[in-house]
Order: sequence, then structure tokens, then C-alpha cells
Amino acid sequence: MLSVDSVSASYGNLRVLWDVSMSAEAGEIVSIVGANGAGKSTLLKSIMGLVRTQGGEIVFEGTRVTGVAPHTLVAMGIAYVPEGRRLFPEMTVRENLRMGAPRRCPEVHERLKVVHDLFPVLEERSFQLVTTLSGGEQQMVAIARALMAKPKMLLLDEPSLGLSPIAFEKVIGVIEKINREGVAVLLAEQSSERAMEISDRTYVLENGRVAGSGLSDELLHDPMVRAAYLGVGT
Amino acid sequence: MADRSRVWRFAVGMRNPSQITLLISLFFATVYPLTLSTEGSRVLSVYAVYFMWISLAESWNLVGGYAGLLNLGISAFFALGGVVGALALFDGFPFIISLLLAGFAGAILGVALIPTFRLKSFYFAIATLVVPLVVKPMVEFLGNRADFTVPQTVILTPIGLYYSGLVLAGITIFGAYFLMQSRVGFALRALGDDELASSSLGINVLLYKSIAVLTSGFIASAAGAYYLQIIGTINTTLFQNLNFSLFPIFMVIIGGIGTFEGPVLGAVVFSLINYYVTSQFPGSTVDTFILSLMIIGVAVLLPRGLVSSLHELRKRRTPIPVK
Amino acid sequence: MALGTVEFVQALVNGLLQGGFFALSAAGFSLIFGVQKVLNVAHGAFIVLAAFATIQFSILVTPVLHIDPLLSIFTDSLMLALVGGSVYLLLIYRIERTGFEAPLLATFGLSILLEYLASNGIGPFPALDPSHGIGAQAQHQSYSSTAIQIGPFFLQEAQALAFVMAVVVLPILQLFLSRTYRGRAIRATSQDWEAAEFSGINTKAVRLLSFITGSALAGLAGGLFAFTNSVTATAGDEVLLPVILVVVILGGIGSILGTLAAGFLVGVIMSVSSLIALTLPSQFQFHADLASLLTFLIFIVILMVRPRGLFGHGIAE
Repeated sequence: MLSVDSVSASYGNLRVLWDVSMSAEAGEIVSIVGANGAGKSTLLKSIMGLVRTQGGEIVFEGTRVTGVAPHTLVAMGIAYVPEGRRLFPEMTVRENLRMGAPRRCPEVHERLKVVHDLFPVLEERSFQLVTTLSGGEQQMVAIARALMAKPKMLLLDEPSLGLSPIAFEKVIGVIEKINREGVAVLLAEQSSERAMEISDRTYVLENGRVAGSGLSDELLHDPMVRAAYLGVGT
Repeated sequence: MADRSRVWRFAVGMRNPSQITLLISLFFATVYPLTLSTEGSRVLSVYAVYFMWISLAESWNLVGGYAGLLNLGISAFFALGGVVGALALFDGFPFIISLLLAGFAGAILGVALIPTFRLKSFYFAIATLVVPLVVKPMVEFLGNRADFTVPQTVILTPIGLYYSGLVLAGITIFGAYFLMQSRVGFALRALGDDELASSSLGINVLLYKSIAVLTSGFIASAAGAYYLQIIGTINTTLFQNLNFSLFPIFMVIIGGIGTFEGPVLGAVVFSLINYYVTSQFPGSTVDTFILSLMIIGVAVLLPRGLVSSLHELRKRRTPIPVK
Repeated sequence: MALGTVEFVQALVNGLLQGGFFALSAAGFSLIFGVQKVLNVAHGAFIVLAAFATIQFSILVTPVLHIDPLLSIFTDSLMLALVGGSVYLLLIYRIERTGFEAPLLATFGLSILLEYLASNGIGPFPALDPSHGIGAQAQHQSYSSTAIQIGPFFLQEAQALAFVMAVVVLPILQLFLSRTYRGRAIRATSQDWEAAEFSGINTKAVRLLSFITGSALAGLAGGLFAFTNSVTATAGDEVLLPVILVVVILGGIGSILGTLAAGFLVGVIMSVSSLIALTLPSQFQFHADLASLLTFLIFIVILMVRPRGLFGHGIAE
């Protein structure tokens, strides 16, 4: 469904991605783990067209999408939940959600109903400014906004950031639920263990390179991975 | 001894080609008048505007280039300097004192800008655009007039104008260089890069921004007092003359923002082109038309300036190494 | 001279009417700055360009076809929308990612260019030169020379029209921004353009739309400017831009209703300041423009009390 083939990226003179290749199939949850600064966010941004890539190519459903504008990718079926949520601060919850759906969207009410079913609290908060919401609720808005595009694939960047363990568990539950309904999920997480537990496959990034990949179950039980990335002694 | 080693380090520090070119040009600018006859020395006043623009562009660069604060109201400093310079000359002070007094007035106006530092960058820019508008009526009120014309007797001779301009520009250039080599300069560059990181590193953001704005204000106002010597009169409409706020920015962009030799290059290129175009169309305003097209052209084709665009071109030619 | 109640109220009324024009002039600038962070210093020149067009219209079209020159404010809007759209696509779009300076310089060059054209004429259209009385020609008799009298007060008709336009058009613009998808997309882009982009909004189209809308507002203001003032080529920089800046900052950047309120406020401050300046003893009647001194002092005081502007979310952090 999505394949990234030896893509590199830099900020100025600082190279942050080195020939990264990866893929994600329909219906999968794929997690990307690694230390802070390993390039997880940059990889997602590269896929989303927010960072200019050098070399390589990114293909989504058979179409080459390298260098394509983010809003076009959204229309093609990729939605993105960024690190730090990036909500529109001077808008209400409802307005933020509306911005996630395309301009002409006859089924906007059905889509709203879907995300309200996932996050009932957002319906109550519909006409509040998003800045008055708690961190967990804001994360829900960010995910819900992305879902308003009715994506085939959802990219999530550090959804656990700033959330209590309970709130994060809720988010994990929603991710699994979305996935059961057929949406592929690409999850970049520093809380690697939890991310790997719910994912089918995992890519481990280290200093901007893919240091390892495989089935999440196997990696989770690999003592070397556990020692290096999960902070668990052997 | 300490002084000598410092001068030595300074000279050694000037190693890149543009800096060496700058030193050589300054040397030639110093000896050039010696080659002229008394009669021919009148031509020297033509070069006064070069020195004026160099000082003004360099002054803008201290704040806009290094500290990353977009000051769009430098005409306020410039015009204030002209007015204060004129008042000083009225009171019988010599030219050099009028220049210093103008500089101090500019530094004081810089202090008045400090409250605007807490504004976000874009809003700082728009706020500084209003500064000349605010200062103008105050100056008119306090000076009790809008027109400050000084008698011909206090105006410098062409050769005096030339050398005082050269000294002003020279002090400005080396002052900017020393400032940038110092701790202040290091802090300012860090500021321009990332204010949050700098302040968390313990750099006193407010202090260094203030130093930049005060120094810049001093130079810009001194340049204003020098401008008075060039044209003999200052009208308060100069305050809201956008040209004096935005041409320096244009020069800095051409020459290279955030370098100390960039503003000099930009000012010289700008003045040369301006001089050439004006002399091609005497008694006509077509030069304004050409100038406007030039500004638009540079902004669109070389948005990062002449020097950095050339660098970029070179970079693009060298392929990015794989691994 | 003592300050009579009638004079004072008349000054208030004049200020409000003038303020409507200010708000109309500033709204487009505020919108463009709010959305794309482009400081369009040519906005004043845009307004003068529209005024120029209306004056040409009154000279060339009205005598032949007997069309009221006032109607030209709509063609002005249309023309400026085209100009704004082209300026965005040809100049600003190509450089807006490089930072703040290049777009600023591009609009600066543009303002010099427009000023040059207005003072030298554009092709067959003669230059703006108030000494030849051209500035006054557009002041169609039925709009500017007559005034509506209400009790002891007078309303200048052209100004009243600018006031009505501001009160009608700006709230409609506000509704557009708060109620429609495109309007919300404009607001979303101004709040976080990257987030807007990855939420599926075509931010290039949004920026184009806001530039077009802002410029069309300049066209509307400019058409009216030809009726209320004697237009000079340099009026954009010397008269309009200063007022626009003050109104935009007081109103809160990007806030349309704030701009409307600030326009009224600045209009009233200026007209009351002039009145006060007139009543001062003659030894205070310097060459100085006391009215603008008072205006700016009040401006600073207001900013000290409300640094974010009247309705602003954002001039101070």
C-alpha cells in the first residue's frame, strides 16, 4: 500500500534520514520505534510531503507521491496526526474537525457521527475552543480531525506525548478500533513497547537509518532489541 | 601589547576573499583623493552617499541580520539624527559633535524600542513600521518646525565630506566586525538562530537585543547627521520616507544578510546602479521606474541575495553524496 | 475658542464616517498580513491605483455613457482583485517560503512602481496631478459637494457612503470567515498553515483567495477615496499606509471586526484631536501637526493598556 524506497532527508546541512526503506500494507499496524532524534518524525513528515526528500521514492497505492503537496496526499487517503497535535487554536472543536474533511463533503455529518462515536466527549465539547480542552482531549481532536478525511492510512507521530497512561490507553484502544475497520496505521512512538505490542510489524530507526525490522512479536522478544530500545536488561 | 595582539588577530581573522577585497577597497578609498587636483576634488562629494548607505545598511544589519529583529523603521533613527545634527549645528557645535549628539539621540530612541522586543517577529516588524510615524509629530512639536535647513557656512567642503564619510563608514564597518567577534556578537548570532535555545542557555536575550538596537540606532542617527551635510536640509517628511527604511534592507539582502561585509557590498552595488541609471536619464523620473523593477526583480529572482544565491548555485552543482 | 457641544458631536460624527473609510482601507491589509504574514506595503498604492481608475472613469466614461462614476468602485474592486491575484501568483507565491524580507521588498518595489505610474500616467491615461484639478473631477457633484443635514449636524455624502460600505461589507467578510468552509480555511491557514496543509486544505489556493479578497477591499476603498479626498500619487505611502498600520495594530491583526472598531476609534481620535488642536491658544499653533501628535500619543496609551489591540489574539505573545 505504502512503500518508501531509500529516501534521505536533511535540515540544512544536517542529514537526518539515510536511505530509509520501509513499507506498510493495507490493514496493518506498523510501528516505527527509536530514540529521540532517530528520525521517526522526519520519516513521517517525508511521507506526508512536509519535508523535502532527497533521492529515493515514495509510492502510495501504485502512485509515486514523492514531492506531492500534503493536501493532495490527504485527498488520496493518507491522514496525519502530528507530534504536538497542531490544532487550530482559535477554532472550536467542531471547526477543527470540519477542517479535516474535504471542502465538498456531503457525508460530513456521517463522518462527524463516526468520530463522535469513537470519542463521545468531543461531541459535548463541540463548541468549545480547542485550547480549553485537556491534553488528552486535544489528542482526540487531532486524531478525529485526521479521521474526518476518511483515510485509508493514518500516520501518528508520538500520540503518547503529554498524555497520562490512562489517556494513552484510550488512544491505543481507538487506534486498534480504527485499524479493525480497515485503516492501515503507521505509528511512530517513543513508548516503544506499547506501540510494538499493538502493531503487526516494527521498524527500528537509529541515527536516521533502519537498524532493524521484523514482526513486532519477534522483535519484542528479541533480547538485544529489548536491551537496546526498550530499556529492559537481559 | 594586548592591543597589538588584538589587532593582529583581527587582521588574521579577515581571511575570506570578500573581506580582503573590502580592506583593499578601503585602502584605495583612503588614497584616492590624494590623486586629485584641488579643482577635481569636487567630484568627491558624489561618494558621500556611498558612505551614508554603507553606514545605514550596516546599522540595519546589526539588528535585522544578526539579532533577527526586523526593524522596518530605521528612517526614524536616520531622520532624528538629521534633525538633532541640525539643531547642534544651529547651536554652534562643530560637525563632529553634531554627529555624536545625533548618535546619542538615536541610541535613546533605541531604548524606547525595548518594550517592543516582547512582540513576535512579524508583529515586531509591523510595530517598527509605526515608530517613524510616532516620532515625527513629536519632533515637529519639540523642534517647533518641520524644516531644518542649516546655513552653508557649517557645511563641510567636498574633501571634508569625503573623509568624514569614509571615517564614519570605516568605524561602522570595523565596529560591526569587532562587535560580531565579541561575546555580544556570538550571543546575537545565537539569538538570531534560536531565541528559545539561547535564553535557556543563559544568554540574556533582552540585554543583547538592547545592545544591538542601541548600537544600530547610534550609527543610523549619525548617518542621518551626515546626510544633513550632503543635502544641507532635513524635512520631517524624511521620517516617513519608506525608502530610507527599506533600501538598507534591500542592500543587506543583495550583499548577504548577517555578514559584516554584505551590507557594504550591497550598498556599493545599489549606489553604483542608482548613480548609473540616474545619469542615463537626466531630468527624468524614469530612474524610479527602473529602480522599482530592479527591486522587484531581485526580490523574486534572488530572494536570498546575490552572494548566497551564488553559493546555492554552487551547492546545487555538487551532487549530494550518497552515504 | 471654547469647545461647543455641537462642534464636539460634529467632530465625533465626522470621525465615525472617516473611520469607516479607514476600516475599509485597513481590512484587506490585515487579512493578507494575518493569513500569509506578508506585509503588503503596496496596499496604500493599491488604494491609490483604484482611486486613479475611478478618476479616469469619471473623465473618460461618465461624460460619454452617463454612467455614475460611483459605480466604478465595483469595477475597481474587480480590477484590484485581478491585480492582487497576479501579484500573488507572479511575485509573492514564488518567494514566500524564503522568509519575510523578500516578499516585503517585492511589495515595496511594487509600491514604487505604482507610485511612478500614478504620477506619470499609465499609457493613454493622464497622470494624477491635483494641481490640474484632476483629483477633484471624480468628486461627482451629487456625492461630494452635497451634505445631508440632520438637525445641526452635517454628513458629507461620500464619507457617509464609505461608512455604509464598511458597516455592510466588513461584517459580511467576517461572516464569510466564520461560517463558510473557504473562510474557515483562510482562518486555519493563518493560524497554522502547515497544519492546514496536512488537514487537506490547499493552502496555495487559500493564500491566493485571501490576497484577492484583500486587494478587492483595497479597490473598494480606493474608489471611495477618489470621492472623499484629492488624490495624489504619493498618497498611498504618505497618507494611507500610516493610518492603515495604526488601525490594523489597534484592531488586532487579522481580526476584521477589530479592524472595523479600530477604524472608528482612529477616525474619532483624529477628528477630535484636530478639534482640540484648533482650540489650543495660538502660541501652541506650531508648524507641527498637533492632531497627529495627539493621535499617536493616544495610540501609544491604548497599546500600553491593551497590547493585543482591541479584538486581537495576537500582537503580543
